[in-house]
Amino acid sequence: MNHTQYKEMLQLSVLRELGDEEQQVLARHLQACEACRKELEELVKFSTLVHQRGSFETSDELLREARQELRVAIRLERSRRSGWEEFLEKFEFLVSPRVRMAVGGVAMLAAGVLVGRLGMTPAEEVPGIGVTPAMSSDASLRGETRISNVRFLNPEPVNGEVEFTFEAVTPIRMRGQVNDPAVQKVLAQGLMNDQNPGTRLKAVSTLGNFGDQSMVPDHEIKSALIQALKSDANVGVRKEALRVLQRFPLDKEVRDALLYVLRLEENPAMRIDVINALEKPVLDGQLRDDDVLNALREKMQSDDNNYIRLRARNVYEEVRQQ
Amino acid sequence: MEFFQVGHNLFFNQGSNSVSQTGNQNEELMLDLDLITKARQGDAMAFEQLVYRYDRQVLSIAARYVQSAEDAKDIYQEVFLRVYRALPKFELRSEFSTWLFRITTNVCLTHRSRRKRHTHASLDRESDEDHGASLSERLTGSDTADQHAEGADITFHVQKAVNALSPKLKMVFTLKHYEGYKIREIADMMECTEGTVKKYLFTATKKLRNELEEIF
Repeated sequence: MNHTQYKEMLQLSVLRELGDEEQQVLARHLQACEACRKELEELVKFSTLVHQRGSFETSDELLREARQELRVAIRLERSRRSGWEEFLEKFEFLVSPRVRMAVGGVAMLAAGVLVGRLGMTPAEEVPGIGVTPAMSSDASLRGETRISNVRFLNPEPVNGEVEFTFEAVTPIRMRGQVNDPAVQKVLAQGLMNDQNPGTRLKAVSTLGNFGDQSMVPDHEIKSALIQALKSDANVGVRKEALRVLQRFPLDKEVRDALLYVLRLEENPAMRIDVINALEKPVLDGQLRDDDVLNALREKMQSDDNNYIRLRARNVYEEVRQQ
Repeated sequence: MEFFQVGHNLFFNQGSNSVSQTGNQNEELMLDLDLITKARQGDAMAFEQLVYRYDRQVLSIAARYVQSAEDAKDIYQEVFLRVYRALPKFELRSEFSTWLFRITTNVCLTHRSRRKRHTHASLDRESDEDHGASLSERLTGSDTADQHAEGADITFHVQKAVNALSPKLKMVFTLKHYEGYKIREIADMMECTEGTVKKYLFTATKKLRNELEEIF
């Protein structure tokens, strides 16, 4: 074995990557080689230096921020997927790649025509009022199309021709009963996709302030509320979603969402609200299964909030005594 | 079985060689499998639980690799978005954790720093020091007093020297020295041979020792 190989072994030894046998070979060599002993000393010094001076721990705060931002990104991803991609996935088995290409072409053409109509219509000719057929409420009013984010694709116009992209947004006014499924669906979409937390909060409370307690909500609306409860970036929206969901029948989906929040929600006030929401159905026996009891036991043993541990213990002990 | 144990050591019990952990290994793998199955069926809670099982490690690798809190969060998000998109197609031939950490190293290696993306980014030392202070503050939550202490200059030089390594050398060095992974585990993550990892480590060490010669 040559000297270079011993030097490599020294590095591996410092990194605790040598087997017992190799370690013994190296130890024998070190006894006889002054240069390698010095090299080992240097390597240990180097290793200590880079560990002490170059290392840092990831803080809980950073992790919380990263999780929060990921939730928002996943929500956006999901809403994107729920549109066109899911449509394609559903019908994937029906269409061959050729047909898909053709459909794609037609869709592009249609999009082009639509954008052309929206973008090229002179402002005064944009219809001020119109009924949106997709909405069955008694009146839907459309405002002017706003063009924004114009981006030039060819910065230097050639022969007077320009090429650019833009976004066209058309505000739509809608009026209808809150229990109208069309209204509810729009609000649910707003709850899932709107960037403004104030709007999302308003959407949740509107969905919750009307309708009787026993009504069975549309699945899409319930999903939107559950989604908001579990992952909305704004605690106010999550709290409101919890309040509204409590008005609905306590089925498996709602129960799972409550347990999810109890286990993973970072805001202690939310966890307390969930324990309060669970208390009555648990004590009544309406909701008393292993999952619920385990979640309560988990909280009473390991939650970092004293009050939550106490509340969870009270409910848990009361159930045990029954 | 060997692969199973490698995976276990890699992501759950670094430094632990206890045989009694085998039962836990199985439980951990079964839990992953259960969560993956549910997440594939659209269970958002299961996906989030799956993320929470590993995300601290992902963020830690990213933060130590890029040495920037904002960039680390970008990498974190990109990694889990890729997982979210690809989970339905994930074949259970390898462990989830192995797959996840491969994605993490790939994203790190191809990541373009926010600072580099901004044309006004200053490359002078003062700016780097400012950045380092802000990073440490956010990563450790500690006050800035230490940043101005005697050791701050050494820290700056070490971080700068590590940052100057090529992406692969930096990745291997970070995973070994700061994250404590075994060479075979790093090879698995980076989809290369153990020999290549050793070569990267030797080269990185040589470069850093030259660079930091004056300090120690």
